[in-house]
Amino acid sequence: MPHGWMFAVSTLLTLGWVSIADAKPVGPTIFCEEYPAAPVCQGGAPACTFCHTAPPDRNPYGQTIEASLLPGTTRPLSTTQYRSNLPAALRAAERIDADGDGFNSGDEIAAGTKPHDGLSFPSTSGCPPFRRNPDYDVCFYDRAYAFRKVNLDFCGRSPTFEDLELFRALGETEQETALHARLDECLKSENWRGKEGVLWSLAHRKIKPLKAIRSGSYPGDPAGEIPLANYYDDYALFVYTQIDNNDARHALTGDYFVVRQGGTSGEPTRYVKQTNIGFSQSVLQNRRAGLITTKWYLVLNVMFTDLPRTAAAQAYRAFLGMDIAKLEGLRPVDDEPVDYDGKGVQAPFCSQCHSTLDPLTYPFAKYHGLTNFPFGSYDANRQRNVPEAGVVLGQPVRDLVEWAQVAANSDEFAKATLMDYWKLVMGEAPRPEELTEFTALWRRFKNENSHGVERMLHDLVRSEAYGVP
Amino acid sequence: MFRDQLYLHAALLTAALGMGCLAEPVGPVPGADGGTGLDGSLLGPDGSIVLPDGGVVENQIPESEKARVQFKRQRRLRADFAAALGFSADEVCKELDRFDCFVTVHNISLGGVDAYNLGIFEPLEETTKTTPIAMERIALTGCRNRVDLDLDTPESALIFKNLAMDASGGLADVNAASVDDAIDALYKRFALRRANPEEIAELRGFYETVTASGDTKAARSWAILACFMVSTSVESLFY
Repeated sequence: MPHGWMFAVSTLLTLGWVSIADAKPVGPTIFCEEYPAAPVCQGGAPACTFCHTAPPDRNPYGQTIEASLLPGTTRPLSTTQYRSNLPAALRAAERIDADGDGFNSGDEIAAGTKPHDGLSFPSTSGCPPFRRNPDYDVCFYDRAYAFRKVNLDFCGRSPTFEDLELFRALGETEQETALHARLDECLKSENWRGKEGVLWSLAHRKIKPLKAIRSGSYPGDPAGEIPLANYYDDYALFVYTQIDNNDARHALTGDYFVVRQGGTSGEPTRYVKQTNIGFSQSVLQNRRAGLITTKWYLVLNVMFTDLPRTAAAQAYRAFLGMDIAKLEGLRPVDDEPVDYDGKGVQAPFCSQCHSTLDPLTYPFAKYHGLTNFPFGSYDANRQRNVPEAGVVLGQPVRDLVEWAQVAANSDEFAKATLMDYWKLVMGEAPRPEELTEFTALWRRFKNENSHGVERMLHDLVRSEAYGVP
Repeated sequence: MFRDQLYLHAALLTAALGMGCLAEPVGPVPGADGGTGLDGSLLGPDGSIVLPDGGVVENQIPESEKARVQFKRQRRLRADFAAALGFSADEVCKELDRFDCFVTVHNISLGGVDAYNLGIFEPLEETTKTTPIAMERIALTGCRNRVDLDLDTPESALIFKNLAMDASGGLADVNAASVDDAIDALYKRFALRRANPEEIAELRGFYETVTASGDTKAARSWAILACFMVSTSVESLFY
């Protein structure tokens, strides 16, 4: 598959090119040690782009830090010099309005806005207002607005005028009950959980389907021209983990498969959990890790690659919300990268990213993509020179199953899961003034809500971010 | 022909939208009858703010700080247009009478995805240059189909009920209650609220523009374009 090789190599090159020679991946960590209450530090450290444009080049905020960081000392600074003096430089820079928007960087950090972006600054308008808006209760939770939005976001259609009037006529408590009852109805609807429904669509970015190589023929939906693996198994598993308050972590840790049934002639779609699923999947149960060990995932992301960095990077991006190609989630591991496949990733320009990416990748090296029929299987002897143990989120893991458990139990997973739904219903990532509420929501999702997506969605609908027009 | 009379320009321009501006204030408003406002300010009888020095700040309806307004996009638009026009989803609009406008022809420009063939896994962040054109075609097609059904089979009319027409195909009386009812029905179906008096007057007044153009089926043209105006309003296409 020349196309596959090109894809893998281009990904590698991309990661290599954005690697950095002089920037310090420890910077975000030190920043959050200095500003632990900053919204940007809730649930993870900021990306390198908080201070850099394309590292080592700095954005306006980064330049103000640079100016205060051991001025007059020969560059590049050693890591020790950098670690020791960065806190003081941060404090000096916070008194400066780096982006010229009228707010100094310290105020912007506290408010959660971007100190390098003149279009991002703390809100100055105030609530409550002098009087109430009779149409949209701006500054307050507007249940009628939320009711209409719930219908559109989750049921996929507006309520009728009459439906909305009936809702408006209810008392406050009854409205609250009716709002969440409607949400429950919508979460059972075909629009939400059926084939091509909202959850199905949410999975596209994680599964990355390609019809031309899909196996499996269905009435009116034949297999692709080069059938290699069937991604419908992946969609079914993903949707199953998002409904009925099933444990969403099973998207990464599930050791089972899911079969989709019904969904035609008015019959509701059902998802049935199964331990095995015929010949369409190859990985044995004790080596399964949800969606990142399905045949489709391995065929698409491992293909023929010795060290499948693409598979690791896609898992990091799709399930933990961090894109290494955008310098997100860098957690360098000492003495890495080893460069088992001789790609030259130890070069300083490359190692800044590969010291995170390569140890993240090692556990994937024991899974075949297209190198061993029937494809997508586990093989302890694959790439014998590469260790099976790796590191994810700074934690050593012995294999991919443990990798997935660490990832699924992380704050990053909870945050990324909420972010998927937040963007779905808000149309954008949280605004600076919403970060506190966002953080409370993913923490509840992880703890009180036991990783149940539907419980999280009820919380989300209750939030001011959702219900205040 | 009537382009300058239409509200199209409003349809896809959200950037400056303050949601408080969507409709004129109607009905009783807390704090507007004198007394104090929500922040404790003294209010005049019209809701204006009376300052401690006796000055007056003009009455203002608060606008949303967020102005978070989203384009409904393909699936929701298809469902809402179908419901508002009283069609099944696949009846609303077909290009060349064959290809579904929402699902097949204008899918991407209306914010849909094509994951399996084109690798477009998420809706485009911005609407495209063809989005307004596609939306106009769909609205015009759907409205035309509804108006033709309502006028051809008045006994089962859904929106334009009991419209009395003269021999030339014009409205017999633009001030008739049935005209007001039709306008009100359009607002209830597309904007989920009653039409206010100004909106009714504006659409009634628009009939003059239609007749001045020499249209031989003025009632039909007016009905189609009235439907078009409301269905392409911000309140209909965004939420």
